[in-house]
Amino acid sequence: MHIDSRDEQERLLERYEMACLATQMTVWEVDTNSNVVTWNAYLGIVFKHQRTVTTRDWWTLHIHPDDVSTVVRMFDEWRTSGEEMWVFEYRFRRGDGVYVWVQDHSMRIFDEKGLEIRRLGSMLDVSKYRAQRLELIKRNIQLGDVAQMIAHELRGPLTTLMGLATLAQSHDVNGVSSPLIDRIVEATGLLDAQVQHMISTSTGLQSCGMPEVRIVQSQAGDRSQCHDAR
Amino acid sequence: MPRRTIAIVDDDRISSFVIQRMFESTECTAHVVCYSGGRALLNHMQEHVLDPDELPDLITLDIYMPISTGWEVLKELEVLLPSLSKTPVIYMLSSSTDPKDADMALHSPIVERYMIKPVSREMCTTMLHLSN
Repeated sequence: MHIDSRDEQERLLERYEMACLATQMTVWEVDTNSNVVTWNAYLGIVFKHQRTVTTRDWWTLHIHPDDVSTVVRMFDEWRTSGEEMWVFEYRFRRGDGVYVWVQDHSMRIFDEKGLEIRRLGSMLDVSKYRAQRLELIKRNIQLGDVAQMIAHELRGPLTTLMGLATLAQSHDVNGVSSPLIDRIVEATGLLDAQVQHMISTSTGLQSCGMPEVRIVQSQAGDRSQCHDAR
Repeated sequence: MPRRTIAIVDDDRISSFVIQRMFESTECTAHVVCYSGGRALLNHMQEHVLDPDELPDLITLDIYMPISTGWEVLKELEVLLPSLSKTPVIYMLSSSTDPKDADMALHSPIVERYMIKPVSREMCTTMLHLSN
């Protein structure tokens, strides 16, 4: 990108600073020769680390022990692939020792020969968003369970009623079934269609959650961990 | 030719009544016996292992029952079946439209078919035909 005037440069920098302030986005860049990582000030503001230059090892040391092997493996797979972008969520230790969920967007820039010349990205604290997302998934599952239960409890007696109505319909008088019974058969059939619609909707609720997220059952048995399926 | 026996296992007595009447409406001459749970059927079969006249030819088994579920009854039937002097044809008959239930039934080596309520005359005719 070529920037003509100093004024334009300042405006661009100001826009970048304001965007970082608005999104609380921590930006980093790796020197691909030395593996030195340079961060913007938000590593301190958001993640409470009083430094702006680290190594790659420093980064891996701050990844949660349960996530580190997966993150490093997937990051290295991406590094040796021809892909430009890498997005992953993992737990990262802040300067105060607290682990927070971060969303890491990484990007590689290649020269005309296809050689990597720059590797940079951004890191966002998405803990609050993830908690909300998990809560929504849990509620959807609960709602789906309740709807399934109600639908099942309802469909049992309803099918009995449908059977009774059909039996009554077959006990016609002089070859003509009662219009009243015919209406009962029709009405129970319509009600059953509604119940079945409720069942299929609740099944959808149980499985939809967030399409890009898969919940991993932790050893403790809760649903506190959530990994991207990508 | 001995009369065929149909065993209906369903905790809902009105549902059992409907199934029984549906079978009767097919004009089959089978003897229909209703059980409010799987235990009563299993006890009866265990008592008459070697007496084919007392064993059912066809069983309709509900899934969601309070004491033993249809799946639990099915497990016990799997063990019991090789010792019987007559092998009944078993149908799972439930109001559940959950594909998981149908899948489980299809994976059982002793279930002929999974059928969804409401039961109809055509359904009973099919069950009788398949168990011939």
